[in-house]
Amino acid sequence: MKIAHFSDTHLGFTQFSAHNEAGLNQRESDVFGTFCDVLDSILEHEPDIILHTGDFFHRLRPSNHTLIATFRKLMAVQRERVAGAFIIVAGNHESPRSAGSGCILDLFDGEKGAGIPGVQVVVSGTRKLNCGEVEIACVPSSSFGTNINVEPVAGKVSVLAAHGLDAQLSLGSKFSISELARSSEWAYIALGDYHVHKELMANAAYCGSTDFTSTNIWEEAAVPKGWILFDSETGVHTFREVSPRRRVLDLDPFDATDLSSAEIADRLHSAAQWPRDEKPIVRQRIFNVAPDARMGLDSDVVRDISLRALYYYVDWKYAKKDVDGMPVPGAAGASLEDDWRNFASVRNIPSVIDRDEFTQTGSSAIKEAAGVSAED
Amino acid sequence: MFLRKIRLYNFRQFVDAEIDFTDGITAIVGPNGSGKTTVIEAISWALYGENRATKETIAHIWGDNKAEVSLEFSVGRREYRVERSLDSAKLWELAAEEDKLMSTGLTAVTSQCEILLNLTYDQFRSSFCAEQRQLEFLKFSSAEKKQDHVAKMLGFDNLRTAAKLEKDRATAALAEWKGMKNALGEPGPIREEFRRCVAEAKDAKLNLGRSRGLLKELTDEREKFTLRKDAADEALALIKRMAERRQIGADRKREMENETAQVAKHEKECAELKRLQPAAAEYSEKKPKVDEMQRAAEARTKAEWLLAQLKAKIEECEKKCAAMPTIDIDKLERTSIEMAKVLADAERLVEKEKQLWIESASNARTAVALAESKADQLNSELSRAREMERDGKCATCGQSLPPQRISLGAKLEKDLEKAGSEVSSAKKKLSALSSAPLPLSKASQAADEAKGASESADKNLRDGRVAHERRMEEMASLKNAQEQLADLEVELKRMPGFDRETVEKAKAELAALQEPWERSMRLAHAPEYLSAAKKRFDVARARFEEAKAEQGADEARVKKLGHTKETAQELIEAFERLQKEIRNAEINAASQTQIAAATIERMRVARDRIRSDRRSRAAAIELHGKYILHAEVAKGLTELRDRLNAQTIPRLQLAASDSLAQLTGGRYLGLKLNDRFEATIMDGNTQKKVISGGEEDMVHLALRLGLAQMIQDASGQPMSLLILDEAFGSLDTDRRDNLMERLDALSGIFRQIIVISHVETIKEAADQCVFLKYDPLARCTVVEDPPCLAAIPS
Repeated sequence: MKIAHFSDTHLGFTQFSAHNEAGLNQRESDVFGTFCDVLDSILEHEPDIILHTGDFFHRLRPSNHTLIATFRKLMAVQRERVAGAFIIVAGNHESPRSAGSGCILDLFDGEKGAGIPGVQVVVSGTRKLNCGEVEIACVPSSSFGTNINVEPVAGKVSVLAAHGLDAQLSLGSKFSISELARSSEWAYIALGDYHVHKELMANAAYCGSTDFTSTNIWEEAAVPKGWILFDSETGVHTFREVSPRRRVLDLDPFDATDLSSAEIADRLHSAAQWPRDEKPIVRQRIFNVAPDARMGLDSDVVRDISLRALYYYVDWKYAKKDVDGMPVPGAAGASLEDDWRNFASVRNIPSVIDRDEFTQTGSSAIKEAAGVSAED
Repeated sequence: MFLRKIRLYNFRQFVDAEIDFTDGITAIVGPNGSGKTTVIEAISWALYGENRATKETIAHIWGDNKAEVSLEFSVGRREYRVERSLDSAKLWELAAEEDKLMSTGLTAVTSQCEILLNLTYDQFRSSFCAEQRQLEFLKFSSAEKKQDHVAKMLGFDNLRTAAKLEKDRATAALAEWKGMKNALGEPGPIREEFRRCVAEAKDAKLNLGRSRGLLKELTDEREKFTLRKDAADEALALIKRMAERRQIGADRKREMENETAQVAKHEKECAELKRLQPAAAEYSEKKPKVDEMQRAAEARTKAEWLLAQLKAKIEECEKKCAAMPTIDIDKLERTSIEMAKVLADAERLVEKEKQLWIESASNARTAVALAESKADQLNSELSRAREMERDGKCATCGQSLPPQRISLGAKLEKDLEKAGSEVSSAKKKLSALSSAPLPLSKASQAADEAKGASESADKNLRDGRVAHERRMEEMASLKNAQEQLADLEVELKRMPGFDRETVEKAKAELAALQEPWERSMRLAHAPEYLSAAKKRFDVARARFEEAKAEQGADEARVKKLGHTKETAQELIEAFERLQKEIRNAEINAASQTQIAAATIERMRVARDRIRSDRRSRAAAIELHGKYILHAEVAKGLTELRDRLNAQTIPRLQLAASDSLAQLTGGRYLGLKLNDRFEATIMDGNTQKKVISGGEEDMVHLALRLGLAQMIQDASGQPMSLLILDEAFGSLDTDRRDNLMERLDALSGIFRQIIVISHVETIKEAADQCVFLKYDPLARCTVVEDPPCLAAIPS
């Protein structure tokens, strides 16, 4: 049997203040588009089982638009698959705080009233789903605080589907995926929550998110996105890449020491190279920028580049010394005492005063003043 | 910093609540007073133990006063948990194997958190937490106030305090230096005093040597004199003791003579005792026999007297019994019962007759009342009929009466007359029943007679019983006396007979022997007394001999010492004179020692004054140096503050520009601030004033983020957490929507954003939403899921 494993679709994710023609947040639209692309890619391989390992939605309560669009897409997919098994294991993003509140994913559950045929949702507890020769043990995010006891079934292809980070889980000493994968006879352990595709063990893998939906998208910029196809007969799992609808570009940083505003503008312009019909999400890091050079920059240059991107972010890292070579007070990592020590080390003082004593006395006074302020 | 989880136990509105934090935007939504801001306060309280409220108001009002907050957070790759209650705190570093306790105690944990975050409480609040009024700090009236506010947020304000502290120290040092300088006089007089003290010390030392020499001479002489003086002391003591011993010898001699007289007396008594012993033995033998004879005689005499008494009593009882008649009690009882029956029958008859009389009287009264009622009714009808008939109408139907009709009034008059006679008849009957009827009187009389007869029969029965009991008692007494008489006669026969003359003779013989017997009894212990007196005499004689010997030994020793009382006393007096001289010499030597010590002390004081003077002069120089140092540091701190203040606007401009560019996705590259902190936006290369409310909010947010960036830069930590507390509070709908759009942009800057708002629409922009609701039944705030989710059946 073939199992398509995908995860962390984060439907309903919004970012930046950009909207499309329909008035939707552009990133929300992008993320949904990528979701559709992934499903289309999966359908091409005609899997027996589709398995989603959590964070299907980005929010506990997605917008109506997201819900309707998702429902339609899933209905179309299941119609084409003739209600083949489609299993969704809830992640932390859609897990309600209290069990009595219900989970939005239940809306799609084909076993519960007007759901989508073939869709099975596991929101809480651990549940074993029988899909012919394959048995899938599902461990949703909300179960990770409890003692989990899942065992593979003899004579069946046992698959474990879970949502959670292995490193975090081991802190509770209750459930360690690494140990489970090493010591048991699971054919495949399908994992979600980690946004980067990662083969944890030979039989265990995070398939990663389908789009750039984490808080630090720049770290994922160069990482491929997609889904995993697992063949139970061969025991092999293969990552199938699907490009997100919108690229994230983390441009090579450059050093701006001694660069003027005009030179920086030139460097920015030359670095910002991508096809004209594409509007990616872009970050440009610049180190050791002189504040005057930053403020004197031709704004139109940045504006022109911004117009070509969905989001263009220049990460300015300023020089820590001023034009006189003096340390800039308040520069990153410098406390008020550091400022004083830097200042005291170069200030002219009468010859009768010992410089160390001068510096030390000032430091003590600053500490004492901090104490006085705290008391106030 | 990244927040993971917080648990509030008995903290303000919360009894026991737990909130998990994730990446992205977490909205904490709830109505006013539901405890949204309390969550943020709990975070800062857990970390720093600081709070806007007092210790008393932290604990939940209905709880058990054990407020506790547990906060899990991470800094870099390390994870921590801080647990703080009102009186204890612990900080743990979380690890896969076992959590490690980093510090314990309220102050220690606060210090450790400051080190971990590299932020003080104020800096934490200023950098991570942005309240609405902080977003609008640019609305302060003057540039100075804005500058001060920014300086305070960035911590520069501490430089002003530090400079003031240093200035105060410089002023204090200067004043002290001046005072010290004035207090220090010329060194000349102090040195002169020291020289004078040295000369005096030399003289004192010389005098001390002399007095000590004299004391030594006298002491040596006393040593030589001591043996002679001891002999004189001994002789004088022996002479005194000899007089005492003479007195003792005389006393002991008197004791010996007394004991000699006692021995003679007891020897005489022993001889008399020996002489009396035969007579006493005879008396002892006869005395029991005579006593026995005496007791037998007395018993017989008593029995004979008792016999005579009993005989007299029997005779008297027999007479009394003969005089008492025999009574038939059964007959008397039967008579009494019969009379009682007759009385009961008579009383029943009386009761029956009385009941009949009462019933007849009651019937008669009823008949009178009925007759009178009927007469009254007829009388009333007659009056009405007469009135109608006077008008020629029928009294019954009101129709006109035909003349031939018999008048109703006339008929009623006849009826009334008949009713009157009925009333009279009934009253007569009632009157006849006013006194008791004849049968009742007769029955009452018969009952009275039966009662008299019954009472008489009862009395006869009672009297008969009393007389019968008396006769029975008397007969029992007679029988008893007869039995006693028989017993006594038998006993008298058993008693031995006796001769009164023999008894009297034996008693006379015994009386003659009584006196010698009594004397021998008194002298019975005379031999023991004699033996004791002889022993005491021997002791007294030995003591007398001993005193005599001791006296002789003392006389011999005095003779050997060769002293008389006079020569010994003379020698002792001479020795005491020498002692007196030595004491005087000692006092003199001590006095000289004191004088020398005082002189040396004065010399030491003078020398210390010289040294102190030198030290004071050195201290004054040091104090002056201190004044220069503190004054210079104060100046330096002020200069640094001015320098930092001068850089504040450019730096804030830079940081806010970066934030603005991020917030607008490069739509605006930056902003510029003038000296009054008034911002203009750089739209392309054109500077434009902030006009719209949306732009104003955006600029404020950018400035606030810029400030947070500056504070966190100083702490060396990346911007990761932002807490917006009611930042949307009073904004109108458009501006709120505008700011909410910016949240999406903020989520690209901060890993974690916590938005606190009572505006529920904020949940649309949040990745996670925590609803707080005050439960009036539980009297605490509870954490809930979004209401729309709670409505979906599971």
